[in-house]
Amino acid sequence: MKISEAYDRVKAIDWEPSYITPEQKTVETTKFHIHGTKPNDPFKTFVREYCEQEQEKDDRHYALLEAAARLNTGEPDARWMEGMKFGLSNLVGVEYAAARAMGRMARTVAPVELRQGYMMQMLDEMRHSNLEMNVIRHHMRSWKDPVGFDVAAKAGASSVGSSIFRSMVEDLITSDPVETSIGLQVFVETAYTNLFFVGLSSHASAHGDDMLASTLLTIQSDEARHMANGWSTLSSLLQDDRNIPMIQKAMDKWSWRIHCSFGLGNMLFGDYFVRKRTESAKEMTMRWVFDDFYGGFYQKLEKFGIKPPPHLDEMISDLDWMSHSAAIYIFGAWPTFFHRYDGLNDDDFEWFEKKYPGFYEHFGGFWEAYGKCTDPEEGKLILKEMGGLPNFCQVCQRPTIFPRPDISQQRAIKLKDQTFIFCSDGCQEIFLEEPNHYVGFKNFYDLYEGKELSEIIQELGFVRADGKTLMAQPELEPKRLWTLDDVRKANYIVERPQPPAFR
Amino acid sequence: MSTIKANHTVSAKLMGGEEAGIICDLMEELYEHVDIIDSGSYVSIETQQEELIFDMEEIAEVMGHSYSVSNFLSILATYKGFIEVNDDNVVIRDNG
Repeated sequence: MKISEAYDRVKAIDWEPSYITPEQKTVETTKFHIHGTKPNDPFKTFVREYCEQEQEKDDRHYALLEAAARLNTGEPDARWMEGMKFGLSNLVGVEYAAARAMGRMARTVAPVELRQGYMMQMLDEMRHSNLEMNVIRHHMRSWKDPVGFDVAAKAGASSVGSSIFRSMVEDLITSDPVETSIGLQVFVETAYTNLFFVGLSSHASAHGDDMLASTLLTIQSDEARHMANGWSTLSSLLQDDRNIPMIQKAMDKWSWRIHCSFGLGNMLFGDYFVRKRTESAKEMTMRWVFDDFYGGFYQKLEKFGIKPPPHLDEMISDLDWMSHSAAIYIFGAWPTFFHRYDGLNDDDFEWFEKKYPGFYEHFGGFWEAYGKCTDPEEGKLILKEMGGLPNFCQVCQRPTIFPRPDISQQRAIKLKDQTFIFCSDGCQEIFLEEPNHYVGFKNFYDLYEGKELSEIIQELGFVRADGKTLMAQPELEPKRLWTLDDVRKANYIVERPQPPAFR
Repeated sequence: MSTIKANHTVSAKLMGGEEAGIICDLMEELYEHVDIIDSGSYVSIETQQEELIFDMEEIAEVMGHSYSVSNFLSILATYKGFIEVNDDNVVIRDNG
């Protein structure tokens, strides 16, 4: 029997129960008009074929892991490996949240074709978090300084830098379930994960991390189906004109939201955790996201009346400085993380100046200062030297230093006597559309204001087994490791900065 | 769209390896308009034409053993365009 015939036969097994209403059948309702639409499922996957495919993918992948564990294929690059302690810690949480989102969507959206795709995607997302945890487990056993990998999952839920990704997934899993499909399957998975899982797999391979290279690619092979799920959902919604304004609003929101979160992660990892470079993160993002997704996919929605997102030009111009602004935040706050950092050297400066003209003029000062604040004997914390951390955006949880600290778009508003701070027009607009969705997020200052830095590090648990040495270090190979005592001597008390100008 | 140019490239990115190499050779042999870009861990098969068709019978012939759509999907890392999975081929088109 042909797939299409079998597929129609399987769909016919679905039924509408007579003893409850369609609304009672679903856990949550949606504001979108999707009931009764005729979705197209381009993959037409059955459970049996799904299991066979995933089995084959796993067999191939785990054979490679087995070989990597057995053979000594050389030591991976330390800058990359240490950076991945932070990278993988966030990724596991994002995948797990995506599984939860798929469960919600499968219990909400009526057409059986979409439900089937979402259910398989839910299993995929669980597979991905397992694969990533398995890489972490492997690196804990094989990497020369495993500390940091051992707390990766917990750290993804507590570190200040991870707030950017936590706030993104919390937004995704608490939005209207069909809007979640637009945010997750269209923007995260069609626009951005190609760059992350396929583009960065080349970086992983070039830096000797074959384990992660294979993991990223086998994950993306599932994402290919998720992209099709996103298009199936979107094309179903586009069948009903009443959905167009709601789709536009969701596209406007998530284009900006994912640019500030997943997009920022791509830029940071692609520029600052690599040593062997071929393309800059800006070049990769322009090719994978703006040419391929916006030029190749989004533009085709114009015939349905979907307009370009309002901040598209800003998103592109952000790429000039985004990775550098993110880096001074992540490197500047190094004691609150759980990996070793590798500051920039002359080769990096030369590369960045070539790829991002004006880099040294705007960021050189930070890196010169960073280089002077690495020795614990000197006792200088870059965090204190630069005057502490900036404010954080209530929506995206980025520090308010974007696109570049000297041209930051930060602003504050008052709502019901409370002050809320934003990094940009985009985030302020998202907040004002649905304030209750964002008011509850606790940022770094809400949690730690008034505390001395070594107390915070202890509270986070980012201390080695001796109970006094920090997991994070500002250099790959320091003469002596920083301890809680060193941090205590620097006497840095967290103070909330003044809010920016009100708008 | 403001500063974005329309992009009509259709592509399939396969995980690097022996199978990907054989499929690339086949696609180059079958279609003049296909470009192959080797990026180390993955390989990209691209065209500016309307579609790319991966026919499993043709792939099986050059592989020297049976080759199913499931086998192909196991090494398809990602694609650009709109995909359609059929009984014995996978088609990626510029338009959905």
